[in-house]
Amino acid sequence: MSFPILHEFNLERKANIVDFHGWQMPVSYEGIREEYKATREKASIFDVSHMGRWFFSGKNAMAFLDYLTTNDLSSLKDGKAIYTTLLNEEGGIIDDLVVYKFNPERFLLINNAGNHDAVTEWFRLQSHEDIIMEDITAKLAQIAIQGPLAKDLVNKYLGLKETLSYFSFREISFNNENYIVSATGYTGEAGYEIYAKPSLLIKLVKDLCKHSELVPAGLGARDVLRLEAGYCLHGNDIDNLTTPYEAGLDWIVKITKENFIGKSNCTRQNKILRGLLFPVSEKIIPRAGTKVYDEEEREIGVITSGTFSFILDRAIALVYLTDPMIIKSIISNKTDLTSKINLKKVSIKVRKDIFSASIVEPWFYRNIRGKEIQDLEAIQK
Amino acid sequence: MKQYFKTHEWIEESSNGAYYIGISEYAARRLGDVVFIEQMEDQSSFIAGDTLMILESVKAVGDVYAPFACEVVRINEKIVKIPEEFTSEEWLLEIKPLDSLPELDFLNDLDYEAYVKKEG
Repeated sequence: MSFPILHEFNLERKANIVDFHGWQMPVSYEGIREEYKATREKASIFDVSHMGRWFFSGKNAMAFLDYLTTNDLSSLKDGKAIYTTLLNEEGGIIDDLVVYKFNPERFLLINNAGNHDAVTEWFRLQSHEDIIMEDITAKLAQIAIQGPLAKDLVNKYLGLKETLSYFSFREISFNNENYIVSATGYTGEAGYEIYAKPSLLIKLVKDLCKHSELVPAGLGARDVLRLEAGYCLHGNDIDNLTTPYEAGLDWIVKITKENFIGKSNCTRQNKILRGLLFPVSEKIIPRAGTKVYDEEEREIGVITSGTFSFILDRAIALVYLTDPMIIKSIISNKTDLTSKINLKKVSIKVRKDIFSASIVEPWFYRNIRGKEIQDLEAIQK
Repeated sequence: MKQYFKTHEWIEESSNGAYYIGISEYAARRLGDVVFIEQMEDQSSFIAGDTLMILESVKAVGDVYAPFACEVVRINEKIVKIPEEFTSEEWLLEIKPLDSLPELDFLNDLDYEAYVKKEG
């Protein structure tokens, strides 16, 4: 059993704690809705020390990681991070990662807690002598502070003079201690993730939580936030049988790169990820595994994640469309509507009831560079 | 005084031999923020173990089970309309036993607390 750095703090705050891939993680403190609201309107803190962290260094570190992952590290500027995937030979997603480039010989990699063993095994299998890889999960902790006030609060606390732009990061020294501050996150809000020794981050959280505008938030709020933003969760929406092209992650695959593991198989599309938006009147929360039907009651897809969107006041979900005709229509770059199947009128069955919904782009709400919202007009009344 | 069941409902006598039914603080906490409350509209009488109501939260679905054969006298409309105001203190339905109340396997608050602790 593993404990995140804020475990004692979480117990003191009487957080609702569950086992998450062997980690004792808080689902919520004061309630999912409250923590969600704080993140969208002010700021919240997430203990994400359960994520896996690695340093990769060496003369050939960049070439090595470029071969292992799908996005393009060679054209990435120093001090920038990117979102990428780690594929197996069959093009399936072993994990999705954030990679930080300090310089072409030094990188920080972040992987999902639930995949740490699989990722570790894969790295060991691929590694060679001149690559120095170090699992720093225990010694370099990580927290996320997200929301419209997040950057200002952190800037003030750490004496940071500049506000970092999306996916930029800095190594800074504060009270003679080292921190990495990065403008990344998993909430669809602007904010930072901070990396430092566990004791420093515990102190930082305790100090910052004295501000009334900042609250600790758990996995429950995080799941609603990431789903509204349309961010995939490995194990739910993506897995080692799913290709990035199926998951709508082709934008993080640099297919023109000379070579990378999984290149020849990663463009396979036997299914396509889309969003599912329910009218306000449909009082249901779509759960993973629920099948989606067209007007003629033909099965066209399956839900992988679903929740209640507080900001849209309606149920939302991510769904894989598996119907060959729909896939063909989407791939051939026609709009979804030109398919014979009306994607604005689909339905799910839960218990004995039928609930109607519309297929939309696979995201719903983001507020990173200003508010972006899914087109509610497009759905059926 | 509230009486608890191992399925995490509580009942409390109202009037005319009817009972209020709600769910325990433990169950409400495990369920988290309730967003929808569904009534069993096509049913007026229930046998013990039937689902009286479904509470849907962001994370889970919770059934409120009939502790005995009963009919629904009243529904807490305020809570059904505004589920975010739901707490374990609020009653959800008022139910009336169809037969004379059988010997029930209920627990008082202390016994229920001990039961929940043991269940983990």
